[in-house]
Amino acid sequence: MLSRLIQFSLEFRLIVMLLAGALILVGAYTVEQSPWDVFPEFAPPQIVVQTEAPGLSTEEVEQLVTIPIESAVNGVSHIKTLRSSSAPGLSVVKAIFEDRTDILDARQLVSERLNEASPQLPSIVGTPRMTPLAASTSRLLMVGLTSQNHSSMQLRTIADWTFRRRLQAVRGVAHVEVFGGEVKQYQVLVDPTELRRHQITLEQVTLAARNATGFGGAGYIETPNQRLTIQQRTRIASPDDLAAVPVMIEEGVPLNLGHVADVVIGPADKPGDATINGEPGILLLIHKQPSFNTLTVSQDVQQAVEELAQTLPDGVQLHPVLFRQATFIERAIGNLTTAILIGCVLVVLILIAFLFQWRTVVISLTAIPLSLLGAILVLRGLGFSLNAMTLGGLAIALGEVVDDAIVDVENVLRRLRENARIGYPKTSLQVVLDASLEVRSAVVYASFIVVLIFVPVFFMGGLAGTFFWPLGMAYISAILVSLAVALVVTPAMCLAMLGSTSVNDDRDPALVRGLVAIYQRILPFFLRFRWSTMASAILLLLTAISVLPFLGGEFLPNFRESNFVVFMAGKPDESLPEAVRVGENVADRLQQIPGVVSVAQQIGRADLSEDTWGPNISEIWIVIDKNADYDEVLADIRESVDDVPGHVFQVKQFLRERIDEVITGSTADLVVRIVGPDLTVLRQNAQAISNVLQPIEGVADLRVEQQVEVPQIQVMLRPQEIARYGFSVGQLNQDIQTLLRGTVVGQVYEQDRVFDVIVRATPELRGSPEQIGRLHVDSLAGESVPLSALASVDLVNGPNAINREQASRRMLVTCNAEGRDVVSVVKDIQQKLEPIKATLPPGYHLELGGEYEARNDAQTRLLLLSCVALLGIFALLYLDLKSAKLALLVMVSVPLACVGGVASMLLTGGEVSLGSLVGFVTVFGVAVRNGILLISHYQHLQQDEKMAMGHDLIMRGASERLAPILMTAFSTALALLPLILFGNLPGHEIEYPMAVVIVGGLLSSTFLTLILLPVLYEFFATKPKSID
Amino acid sequence: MDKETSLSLLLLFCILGCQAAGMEESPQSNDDSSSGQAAGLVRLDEEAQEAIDIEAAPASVQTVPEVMKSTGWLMTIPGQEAVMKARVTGVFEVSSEQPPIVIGRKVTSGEQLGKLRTVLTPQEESQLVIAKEEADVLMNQALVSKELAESQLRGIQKMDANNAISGTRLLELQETIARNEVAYKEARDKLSFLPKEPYSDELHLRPQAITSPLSGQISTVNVVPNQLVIQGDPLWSVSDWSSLWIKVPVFAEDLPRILEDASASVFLPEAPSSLAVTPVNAVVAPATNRRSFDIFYLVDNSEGKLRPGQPLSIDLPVGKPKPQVTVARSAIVWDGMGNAWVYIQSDEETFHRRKVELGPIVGDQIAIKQGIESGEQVVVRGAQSIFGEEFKNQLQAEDDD
Repeated sequence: MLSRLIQFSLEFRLIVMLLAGALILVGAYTVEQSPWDVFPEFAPPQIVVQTEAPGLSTEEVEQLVTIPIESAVNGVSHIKTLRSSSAPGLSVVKAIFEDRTDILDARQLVSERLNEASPQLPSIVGTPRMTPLAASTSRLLMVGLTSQNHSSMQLRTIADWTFRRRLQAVRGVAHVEVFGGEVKQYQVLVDPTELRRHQITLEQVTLAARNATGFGGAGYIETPNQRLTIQQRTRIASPDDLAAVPVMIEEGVPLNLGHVADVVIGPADKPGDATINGEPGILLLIHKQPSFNTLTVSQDVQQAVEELAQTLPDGVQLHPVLFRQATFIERAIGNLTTAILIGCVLVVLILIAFLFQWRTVVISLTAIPLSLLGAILVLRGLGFSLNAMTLGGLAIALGEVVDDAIVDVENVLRRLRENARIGYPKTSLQVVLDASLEVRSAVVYASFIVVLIFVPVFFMGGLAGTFFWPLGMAYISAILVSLAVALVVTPAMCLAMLGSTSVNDDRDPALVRGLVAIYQRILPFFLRFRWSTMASAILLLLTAISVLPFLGGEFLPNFRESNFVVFMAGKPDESLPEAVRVGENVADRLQQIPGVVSVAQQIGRADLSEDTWGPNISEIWIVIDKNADYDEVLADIRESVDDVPGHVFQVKQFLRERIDEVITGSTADLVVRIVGPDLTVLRQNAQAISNVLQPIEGVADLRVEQQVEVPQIQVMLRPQEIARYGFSVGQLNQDIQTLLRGTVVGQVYEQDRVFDVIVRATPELRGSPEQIGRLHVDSLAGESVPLSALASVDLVNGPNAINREQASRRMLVTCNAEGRDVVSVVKDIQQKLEPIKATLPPGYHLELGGEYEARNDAQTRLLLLSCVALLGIFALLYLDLKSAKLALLVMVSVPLACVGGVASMLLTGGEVSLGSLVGFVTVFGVAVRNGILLISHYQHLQQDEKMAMGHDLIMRGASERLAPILMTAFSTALALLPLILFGNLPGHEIEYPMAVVIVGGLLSSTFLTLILLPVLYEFFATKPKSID
Repeated sequence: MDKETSLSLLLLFCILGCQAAGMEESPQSNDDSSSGQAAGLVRLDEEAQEAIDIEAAPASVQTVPEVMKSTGWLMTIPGQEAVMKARVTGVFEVSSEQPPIVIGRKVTSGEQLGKLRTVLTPQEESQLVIAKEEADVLMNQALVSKELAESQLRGIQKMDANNAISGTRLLELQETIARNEVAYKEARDKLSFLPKEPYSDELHLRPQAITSPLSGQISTVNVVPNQLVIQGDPLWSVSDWSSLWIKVPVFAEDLPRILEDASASVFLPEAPSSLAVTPVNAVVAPATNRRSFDIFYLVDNSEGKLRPGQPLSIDLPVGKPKPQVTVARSAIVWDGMGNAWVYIQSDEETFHRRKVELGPIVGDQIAIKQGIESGEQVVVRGAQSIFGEEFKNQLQAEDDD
C-alpha cells in the first residue's frame, strides 16, 4: 500500500507539490484566524452560583440560602465536586463537573433547578445567579479611572454607565466587573427622633418614598386618526424633587419627605473598593468569553477604551493598562517563535553541513512548514486553540519533523549517488521509490511508536492531562503530518529536484566523511571491549536510576509574566476603609520599587465578581517594566510587603494564581480536609492536626483554614418584650432592617441610567455598635421604644465563612513541602494522622489532597500507561523487525537513552516536572526510531545486499547510518537549543525542562545508537546465525 | 547600690514580670487561641509602623455631657388657660371705644371684654306678656280695691265717726288701702322688666357684661360683634403663655436614668443655642396601657416666640457632665466577647492591647470610662492592623473559595 502511495505521489509529483503549496497557504491563513490563548482551558467545566443575601450572617446564609441551593444543584448529573462558601451576605455554590461535560447543557440544567429553588429562599435574599461563562484565564484587561477634580461618585457613574456598557458590547467580552468609587443612590436618611417629632412612622416614610418612585401605565388615547400612548411617571431629577414628595397631609398642609428626613444623593454600601497607584479610583476588570481570541478581543477592548477615553471629562485620568494578559501571550509567542525560528536556522546549518547540497536542504526544510501548518490545521479541526501548550508541542516536534524528511532525503541522495556510480543506472523514479521504501518501515514504525509513547499523556487526566493533552495532540499531529509529508511530498520533491543527480555529486560532504572516519576508528574499539562497554552502560543506567529518588519537583513552573498579583489579607473583621488605607500605603511603597510601572488594588468583591471575599482581602496588581530585572523586582516586592504589619501577603503571577485556584480549591502542596457537621469540632481537629504536622520535617507554611470566629453584632429580638410593648415582629424586623441596612424602595431614572432610592437611618446613628441599642422604633400604638428594650444587642463571635464540600461542612489544614521530597513528607503526615483519624467522632473523616495529589495521580497514571505503551511498542517493533529478540534488544537498550536526560536534569536543578517527563517520552521515541533505523539497515544489508554477519557488516551499517543519526540528533538538539538558552523567558516555562531533558537524552541516545547498539547487535545477532 | 542588691532586684522584676504576663494571658485564653507573641503585646519596628502609617495620639480629657436625645412638645401650663363661655343666650356687643377682640390681644384679669344683650325665645316673650297682663290686672284690681276702700272710709268718717263698729271697719279699710297700695306698687315695679303694650316692639332685657378671668392673651376667638350666641357657647380663650411647659414622653425603662434635678438642653429645630429650662416636679396621670410617661420642664416665654404644640429637640440629662478621658473613635477595636480595646503605645516599638469601658460619644471622640489614663499614647490610626499583627498566625493569604 505504501509503495503504491509513494509511486502515486512520484508520478503526480507536480500535483503533490501544488497541493503542498496550497496547504502552506491555507495553514498560514488558519494561523492568522486562530484563537490565541495563553493556556488551553485548564479549569474543569464548572458553574458558580452566587446569591446575595444582604444582612444575613454566615450561619443564616448557610442554612437559609446555601443549603437549599446546594440541594437543588446537587441533583444535576455529572457533578464531580460541589463546593460552597457562605460568608456574611453572600452564598457561593460552585459545581465542578466531570471533564468534557458540555457546559452549556449543564448551565441549562442548573438554571432549571435554580428556578425551582429560588421561590423557597427567604424574601430578602436576591435571586441566585450563575456567574457569566468565562474561561479560567478570562481576566483580559484591567483599566482604571482616577481624578483630582471629580468625585468618586461621578467616576463610578461614568464607569458603570458609559465604560461598562460599551465594553460589554465588545465581541468576546463575557462581563466587566467594576471595583471602587461610590455607586450613586438617592438616600432618604431618617432619624427616628426626628420622625417622632413630626409624629410620622418609618413605614409612612418608606411608603411615601416608594410611591414617589412608582409609575403607572395609563395606556393610550385613540383618536380617529392616531393612537397616542401615554407615559406616566413621576419626574424626579434631583433630591429636591424627591424631598418634595408628601408623606402626609395635615389639615391641608403637606408634610414632605424633605421635612422629616434628609433627602440626599449618597454612596451605596460598598462590598469592595479599589485604589490605583495609591489613590482612590475605579478599577474595571474585563473578562473574556471562552473560545475567543485573547489577542483580538484585547485589541478590540483596547480600541473601545481608547474611544471612550475621548469622551472623558477633563481631569479624569485613564489608566489603560493595569493588567493585560495579552502582553504575556504576545511575549510568550514572540519568544517561542524566535526560539523556533532560531531552531530552524540551526537546523538549516546542520543540514547544509551534513548534506552539503542546497536542494536537499530545501526539500528537508519544506517539510517543516508543511508539517507544522498541517498540524495546526489538524489541531484547529479538532477544536484546539493556539496557546503555549500547542505551540510547545510543535516546538518539540520540530526536530523529529525534520528527521523524517532527512532520513528520506539522505537515503534517496545516497542511493541516487550509488545509482549514478553503477554502470546501468535505473530510472530516477525507480531509485527514489526504492530508496523511500527502504526507509519507509523505519519512518512509519518509528512515528507510530512515538505516537504510542505519547498515549499515556492523553490519559493523564486532571490538570496535568488538561495541560499536556493539547501539547501531546500538537506533537502527534506534527509527527503524523510529517510522516505523511515524508511519504508523499518528500519523495516527490526528491524526484523533481534530485532526479538529475550526477556522479559529480557522489562525494559525501567533508564533514560527513570526517565524522565517518573518526567513527570508524572509535567503533572497533568498543566492539573489541564489548563486555566492558555493556557493563559500563549498565552501570550508567543503574547510576541514573539510583539518582531518581533524590529528584524533587514541582508540578508546574512559575510563569515569567510582566505582572504580579499580590494577595493581601488582613484580619477577617477588617473594615473597608482600613483595607483601603493600608492598600494605599502598600501601593505607595510598591511604586517606589524601580521597575514597577503601576499598582492597582482590588479590595473585597464586586457584583457577580469572580472573587467573592470580604473587604479584608485584596489583590494588588502590579505591572512591571518589561525591561526590568524580573527576579530583582520580585524580590523587592516580596521585601516591601514583608514589612507591612497586620496583613499577610502572597506574591504570585496571574497564571500561577489561576492554576493554583483550580487544583483543589486551595492552593497548597498538601491539603488535609476534615469533613463533618460541627464547626467547633472541625476547628478543634484542624488545630490538632496543625499541631501534629508542625514538627514534621519539611512541612512549611502550615496553615489552618481561615474559618475563624469574627465579632458580629447580634440583634436578638425577645418575643415577650415585643408583645409587652405592642409591636409586631414582622414590622419590627422590617424597621430594624430599614434603619440599619436600608430598604430600597424604588429607582430613579436619569436618561438611560437607573439609580436606587433607599430609606435608612442617618450614618451617625449606625456608626458604632453601642448606638444600635439606642435606635428608636415605633410601636403599633405610635409609641417610640428604644431597640434595646425589645432585643438584646450583643457582640458575639461568629464564623467568618462556612465552607462546604459535597454538601457537608469541611475545614482545611494546608502546608507546603520544603527542603524535602513531597512524597516522604506525605508518608510522614499520613502516619501522624492515623491517631487523629481514630479519635474522630462518628460522622467525621479526613482526606489528604493538594497539588501533590495531582502530581501523584498524574505520575501513577503515566507509569501505568507507559507499561501499556511498552507492550504496544514491543508489538510494533516485532512487526517491523520480525524478531522478538531484536525487538527486545531495542526495547532494553532504550532506557539507556534516558541517562543523559537524567544527567542534564540534575545539572539544571534536579526538578522533575511533567515537562521533563514528557521530555523523557520524546527521548524514548528518538532512541527507538534510531534503533529501528540502524537495525533495519543491518537487516537490509543482510537480506537485500546479502552481506554476511560479521565485523564488516556492523561497521558498514553503522557508518552508513552515522550521518542520518547524527543529523537527526543534531537537528533536534539544535532546534531545542534556543529554548534552553533562553530558558527564563516568558513562554518557555513549560518547554524549558522538556528541552533540557531531550537535549541531554539525545546525547546518550546517540551514544546508544552509534556505539552500544552495534555492539549489542553483533553480540546478539551473531549467535542465532551460528546456530542456524 | 551594690551588685547583689541590683541582681536580686532584677530577679524580682523578672518574676513579677512573668506573673504579670501570666495574669494578662489568662483572661484572654478564650478568644486568643494561640499566638507567638504575648497576648495583647505587639512589637513593630519603626519601619513597619511607617509602612502603614500608624499614628498614636495622647488621650485627652474633655467635659462630656451624658444625655439622651429625645423630642418634647411645648404645652400651656395647666391652669393658665381659660375658655370663656356665654352666660346667656344673647347678642354679643362691644362698645365702640373698646379695642377689638382679636387673637393675641393682651388682656388683664377682670377686664371687661364686651356685653351680651339677652335675646328671648317666643315662649319667654309670651310668658312675659302674660306676666304683664297679670301685673296690669293686679294693679287695676289694687287700684279699684283701694278706691272702694277709700270711698267707704270717707263714708264712715262722715256718718259716724265714733261708732264702735265703724271704728273696727275703719281700721280694716285702712289696711285694705295700704295692702292695695303695696300690691299696686309691686305690680308697677315689675313693669320695668316687662314689655310694654302693644308688644309689637322687641322685648329688651338688660345686657350682660363679660370680663376676663385671667391675664394673658386671647388665644382663640369664636365670636364677632352682634353675633347671637347661645348660652354655654365658647366666646374666647384667654391663655397665659408667658411661661410654658415642655412635655417629654420618656420610655418607661429610661425614666430612672434621667436626673430629676438637672436641667435639660432644649433646641428649637435649626436653632443654634439651647433654651433655659427648669424641671417641673409634676406627675400627670397618664392614659392606661402606655409605655412612655411624660416628664415636664418649664420654659420662659416672655418674648412670646414659643408656641404650645411646637416640637423641640431635647437632650435629657442622664449623667452629670464631668471631665472624662476621651480618645478618637478610630482607636477602638472590638472582639466577639463584646469587649472594646485600644492599643497603647508604651514605647517607640511596643503596643499593648488594653480593654476599655466606653462612655458616651462626642462627635468623633468617645469617652473612656475605664482603662486608660489621660496622656497615654493611644493608637488612633491603624489599630485594626496592629490587631491583625497580633493574630497574624490566623491570617491566610490564600483564596479558599
